[in-house]
Amino acid sequence: MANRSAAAPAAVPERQQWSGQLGFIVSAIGSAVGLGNIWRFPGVAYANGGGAFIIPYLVALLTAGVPILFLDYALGHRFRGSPPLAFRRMAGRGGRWAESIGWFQVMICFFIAIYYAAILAWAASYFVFSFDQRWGEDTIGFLTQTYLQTDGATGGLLAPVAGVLLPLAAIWVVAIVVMAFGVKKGVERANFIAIPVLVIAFGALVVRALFLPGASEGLNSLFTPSFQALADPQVWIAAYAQIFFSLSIAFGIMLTYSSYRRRRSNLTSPGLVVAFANSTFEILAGVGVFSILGFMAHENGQTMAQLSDENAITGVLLSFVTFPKVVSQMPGAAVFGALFFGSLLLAGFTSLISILQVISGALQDKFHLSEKAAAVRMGLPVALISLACFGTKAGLPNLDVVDKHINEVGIVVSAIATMVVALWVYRKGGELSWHLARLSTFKVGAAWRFLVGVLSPAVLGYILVATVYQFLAEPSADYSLRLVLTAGWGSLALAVLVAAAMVLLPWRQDPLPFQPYPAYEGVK
Amino acid sequence: MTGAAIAMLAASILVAPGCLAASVAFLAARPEIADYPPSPPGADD
Repeated sequence: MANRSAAAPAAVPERQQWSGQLGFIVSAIGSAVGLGNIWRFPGVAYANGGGAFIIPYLVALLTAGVPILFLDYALGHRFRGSPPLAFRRMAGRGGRWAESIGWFQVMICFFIAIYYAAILAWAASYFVFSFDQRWGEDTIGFLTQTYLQTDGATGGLLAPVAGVLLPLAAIWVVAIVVMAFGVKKGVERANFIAIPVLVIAFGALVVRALFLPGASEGLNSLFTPSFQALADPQVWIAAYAQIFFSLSIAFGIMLTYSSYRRRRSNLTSPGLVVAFANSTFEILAGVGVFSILGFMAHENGQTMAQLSDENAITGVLLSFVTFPKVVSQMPGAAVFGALFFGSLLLAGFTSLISILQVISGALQDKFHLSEKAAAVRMGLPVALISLACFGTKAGLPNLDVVDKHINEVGIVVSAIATMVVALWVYRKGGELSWHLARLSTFKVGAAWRFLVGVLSPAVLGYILVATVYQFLAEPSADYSLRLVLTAGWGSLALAVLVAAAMVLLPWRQDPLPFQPYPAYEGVK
Repeated sequence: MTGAAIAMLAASILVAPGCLAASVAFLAARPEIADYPPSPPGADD
């Protein structure tokens, strides 16, 4: 039963806080800048109009990325809670089930955390491997057979791989320790250390890459514009998808982070800094990655088109198959490899702790736990599941299938549900835009409500339908139907079931009634 | 590099780092609003 002794208005809950605006901005940038900036953006831009891609990318950033980011900020800050608490308070007394959207976001974070940590473990291992380039010439064979010891599409779930298990366990220990120190002493401090190191390491990598032979050919292939591509709707969809996936929006992270801001906080202007910092890092990654690929093409006597036909230029395969090949061909290979995999590790780690903060924050709110208790009670089971699923011979197939379904379906569902429920079901568009404008130096109004209430749900709805249709019409030939049903659709189904079940559990402290600050004066 | 590629590289730099610099400058110039509403009693701000 809920603790009814706490039924007095919870207008002034005790809540962790960032040390200030800078701590929030650096942590939010640390969350937004992740693996996708380094390994996804360059390849997506190259395949979708090259230099011309910047036009749909910018349009998508301003019409969907930034507006949804502001929606996350508004929900978290106005209703002072992790996703379940914020949705519960937004919906009020009669809206108990709105909380399930928050728990669905928490479950999305749970699934991402368990495989994201595994990729960081691979990056940590490859950081070490860089010093002797032990991947040799057959980099794909080294990744799948020697390092991951992949055992078919479905087998190997109970066969641990020590080379993955140990770094993965280390990643989890560090992450849990950071979480246990809380928002200010843990998450914020980790970001204050990691982000400057990341900028210096990745900046050094990019500068070195620019002076490699063939770098200009690589940049030429990335930035030569193909303006006729702008007539292709798929290019625009790719731009919206890139922005959407790279900004850490609509699955609880930015909502949770903004809930730790003081009541008197400027929301939108720091949001612009975070969004443009994320884009800047993506452009920097594009320059670095394509300079390096240009060098590889030069060394192999290939054109960039031939190189991209024969080698992966996005995702896991870019990082752990193509890049090791290039590193081996480079002067100063050890330093170059260490800079690349070190950057991947840092960028990913700051994103991982933001993902974990959503889960930890939700448990703290629902069960009234301290940050230490939440870190241990959340961290240990999540770490064990991660180790069991991804520290084994079935790690690679599991990761690929879960990632595809959770990212391309789960997050999009979460975003659409958030916008529809907040703006159409509970009609909070006016109150939320008023909240943003009342506290911030950069004002938003009717245009923002249109973007998050109409345009973004429509674009994301189209992306969702197209993705689900593709998943059903063209099932992956690489994995068995059983794996796709269990790890893929099964993960999504489990997320929905747990989200519904969590609503039935009582709050340790009644989240209602709640008086948001400032009191809503209506849209003028 | 071709002229078109150089132009788009320059445009990309202008757009992303340029907007970042502008947003940082805007935030530095106006870090907070001047007239926050009164806080609730005992608020943690």
